[in-house]
Amino acid sequence: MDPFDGEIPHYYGMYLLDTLQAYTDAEKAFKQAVKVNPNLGGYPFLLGLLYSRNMDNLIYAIKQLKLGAKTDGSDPDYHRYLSMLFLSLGDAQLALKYADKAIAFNVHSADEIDARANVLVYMRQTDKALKLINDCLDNPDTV
Amino acid sequence: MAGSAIYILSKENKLAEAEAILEQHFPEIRNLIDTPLPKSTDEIVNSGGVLLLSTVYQAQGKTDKARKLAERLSLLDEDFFSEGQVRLMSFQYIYLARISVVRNHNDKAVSYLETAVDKGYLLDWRADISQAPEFLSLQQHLRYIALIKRLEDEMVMQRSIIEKGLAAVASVIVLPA
Repeated sequence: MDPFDGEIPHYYGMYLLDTLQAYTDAEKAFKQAVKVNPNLGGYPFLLGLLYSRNMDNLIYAIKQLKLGAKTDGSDPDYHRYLSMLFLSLGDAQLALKYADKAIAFNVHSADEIDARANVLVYMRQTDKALKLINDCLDNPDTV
Repeated sequence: MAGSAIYILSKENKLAEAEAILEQHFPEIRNLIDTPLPKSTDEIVNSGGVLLLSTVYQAQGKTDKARKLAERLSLLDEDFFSEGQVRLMSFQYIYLARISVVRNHNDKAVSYLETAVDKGYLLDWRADISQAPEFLSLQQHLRYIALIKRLEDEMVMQRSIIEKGLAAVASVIVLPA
């Protein structure tokens, strides 16, 4: 086994995460993978998901996703997930800011628009949310 | 996407509008009411839309239609979701809760939501739990109310840590085992 092959701890981490659900071990494996090969992408995203979906820790998740957004700023998923995390925390302004950043990358994405609609619902701006959703559903360019 | 619209319209008791949106954008779902039940999970189509239309029918008092649609999802159970895994993952409990609530198994639905949170699920909980149209029918359920309070309390705690500065977090938080 090549100790410098970053893909080995990656796949091991995915196995620990998805199949065994051994979350602290998966966390260690992902961190090891980044250490072995810093060029392997996507780890801030995986760690962000791990912390927020399985380890009730939004703080670490935000830290990872902000790191990902900084290093891979053109990926809207980081911004969309940051919007979800800040919405969960109840910080509507930041949730809206990140939803808008995500939409800016892909104006026709239903996922990004849905993230914004969810924030508007939380802010009780339901008319705006409904208009946004209806426009999106009616738009043939929506993906 | 449509879920947010159905949540808003259901909460405002504009159920005919909610039904119209689903029938306009997902016309095939209505036809499923008179289609034989799926014999395997491979035959289950558009489960998200089925959940939403069943929710709207239930709120409208069209219980027979709601039940017929909800029954189409009965094969999406714990065994199905846990296939190939040692146990169910946190977010899968939320999906099971959605299916349970449209099948009128409200206590079971709340138990699934509690388990999702017990297993560390916080990602997008407002959209997935407190703003989900399927769970509007649980708003008077005492354990559901307690769950939302528990989540809000957790958010207050995590926000206060953030306000003290992320740099200090590493020395404060002990990650769950």
